[in-house]
Amino acid sequence: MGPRLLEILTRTLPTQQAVNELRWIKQELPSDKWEEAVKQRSQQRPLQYILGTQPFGSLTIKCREGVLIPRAETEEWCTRLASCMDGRPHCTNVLDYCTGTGCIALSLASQLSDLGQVVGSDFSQKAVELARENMAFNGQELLESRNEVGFENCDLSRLQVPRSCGKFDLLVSNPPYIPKNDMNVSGGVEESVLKYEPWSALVGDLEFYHYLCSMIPVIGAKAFVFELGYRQQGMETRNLIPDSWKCGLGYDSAGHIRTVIGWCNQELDSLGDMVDEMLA
Amino acid sequence: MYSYGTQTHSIPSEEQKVVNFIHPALLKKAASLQDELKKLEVKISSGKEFNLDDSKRYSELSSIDGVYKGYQESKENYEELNSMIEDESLKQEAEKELETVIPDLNSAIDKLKSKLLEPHPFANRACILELRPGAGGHEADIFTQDLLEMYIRYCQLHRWHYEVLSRTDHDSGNGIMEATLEVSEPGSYERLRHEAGVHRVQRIPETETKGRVQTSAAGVVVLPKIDDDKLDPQARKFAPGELRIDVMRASGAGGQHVNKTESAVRLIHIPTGIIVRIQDDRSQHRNKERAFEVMRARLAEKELREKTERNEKVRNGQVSSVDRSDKIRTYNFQQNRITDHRCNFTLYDLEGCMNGTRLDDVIDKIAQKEVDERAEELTKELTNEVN
Ligand SMILES: C[S@@+](CC[C@H](N)C(=O)[O-])C[C@H]1O[C@@H](n2cnc3c(N)ncnc32)[C@H](O)[C@@H]1O
Repeated sequence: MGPRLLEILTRTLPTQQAVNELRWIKQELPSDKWEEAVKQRSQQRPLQYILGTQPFGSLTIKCREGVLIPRAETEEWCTRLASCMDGRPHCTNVLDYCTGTGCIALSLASQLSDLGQVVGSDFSQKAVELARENMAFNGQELLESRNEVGFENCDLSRLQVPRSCGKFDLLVSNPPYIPKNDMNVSGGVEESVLKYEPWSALVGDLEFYHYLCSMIPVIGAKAFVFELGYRQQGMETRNLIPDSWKCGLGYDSAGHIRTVIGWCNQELDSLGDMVDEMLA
Repeated sequence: MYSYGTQTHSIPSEEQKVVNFIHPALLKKAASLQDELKKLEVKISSGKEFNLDDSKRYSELSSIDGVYKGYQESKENYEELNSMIEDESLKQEAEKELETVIPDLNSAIDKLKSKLLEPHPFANRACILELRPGAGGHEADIFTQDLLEMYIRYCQLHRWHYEVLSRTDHDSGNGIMEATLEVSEPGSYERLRHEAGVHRVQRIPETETKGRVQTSAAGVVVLPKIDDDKLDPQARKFAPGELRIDVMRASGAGGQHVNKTESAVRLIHIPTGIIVRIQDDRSQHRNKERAFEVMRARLAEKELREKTERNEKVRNGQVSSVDRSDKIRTYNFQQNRITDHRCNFTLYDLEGCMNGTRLDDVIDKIAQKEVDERAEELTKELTNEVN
């Protein structure tokens, strides 16, 4: 049965990836589910929806249809951010807008001790529920860092502030950033993503960076990190925040522009380690 | 930790009549260490300052002394019985008792010899085994898998925790192209380091229709496991730029546009060119941790090997001819035997060895051979010092 399942997978996946994925399917699912899993995978259903999880740093994040699967690029900058913030003053409240599975909020909360409050918010009820599940699911990992973590239903376009806390020092976000016109294979979006992941988590552009920049004074944030997909989204952000702020772009390990970072005082200069290109 | 001499295995009765040799210079050394221990004990009771080095030395010496005392007791026992043999009326009884006393004495001698030797620098470590097929085509891949299974069963029998860090199966599903096995038991390195080298198999491959015996091979590398622990003096810190970490990248835009599952990590140590690639786990984070673990182990092994070679060169003007490509052992299926070429020991129970239960018999022999050789070297050193 092994060779046949592998053969099915190699029709849509490169050989090495097919070998790995089949091994993971066999490791994580009971044998009576393998056949169906391989069938679905060969129809491009994301592996993470089939297996129900995606590793994110040292956490295991539950995934299901309707909520975006965490990406490796996000994991990468989150890890980088946590190491920049290691020497920060205690008690930094963090708001993760557009939290989805909660991966960013939970990852920061698990890597940094004594943060203060960490809140994740999303306008999708499904996402907030899943994020809460993920908080419980990774309880052990979160225990040691002694942070208060919570998730709330809020709409960014209406500049809603989480009820549990009004003031946040750091605003992080991975908002939907694929312009409508690019939501197709020629726009660089994978078929599996187009078919199976929620468009409300993907489609967006400059308006989201406008909302996020408007949130900064509302919550009193002194620093921010936003994920992005296009240089213009970073330039727009630079123009929307006060000139006195330091601001720059970060690249991912494939060399693509991936984040825009900003901070308003010297105390936070260690965030400069996230920056690969300063913006004037 | 693993200690020698805890196994009981039957020795042919001929061997039980001869007392193993131990050179007087070694016994003198043991006695002088006992004196040193007594002096330290006086220092303790006098309430003088007792520093960390002292207490380390103290525990070393007490452990040697315990073994030395065991030897002395056994030796006295033996001599008493030996003198009884002169007496016709006691002879029979004494001879009977000697049958158990001589093996006891021999094991005490072997223990004392190994105790007097400088322990291996990684003796207390856990270990990592790397297995790769050698010459022999697909049959070598199958044999490599057999060896991996042997080591896994061996760990299970000893109740040692183990984990396969990396494994690449042959496309046919039979045999492996490489495997990395981590054995977390402290001290397992001391035991399994004797497994390093080329293992050779002689058998009729399953795939062979004409029934011809084929010879193929697999290589085993044994590395010390060095945790990333700041308190560990053998743990190493990497300078910035010393390592390059490559992760699998999505082609194209990346980010929200694509959902990749590749999690392979490739770690390159730039000064030495050593490359470690791990792709087994779904988590890139864990693959990275494992890659670092294997890298630390490979570097530690390399550095130790180079240091040993340098010392040898200083001592003898040349490096001894232990070639890493030399075969250490042959597994002959037709004759149901395993022969270890380093100590010329043959075990006629191939099945027992391959299922892990009798691998210790073979390791015991080669470990003892090493102790004997090193004890001889030490004796030479000690007698040279005197002259
Ligand atoms: C790209 S996903 C990011 C999810 C998660 N933070 C991650 O990195 O995997 C964007 C998220 O933003 C949420 N979202 C979209 N529009 C929103 C809005 N107006 N207010 C709040 N959340 C919104 C979506 O539901 C989705 O969960």
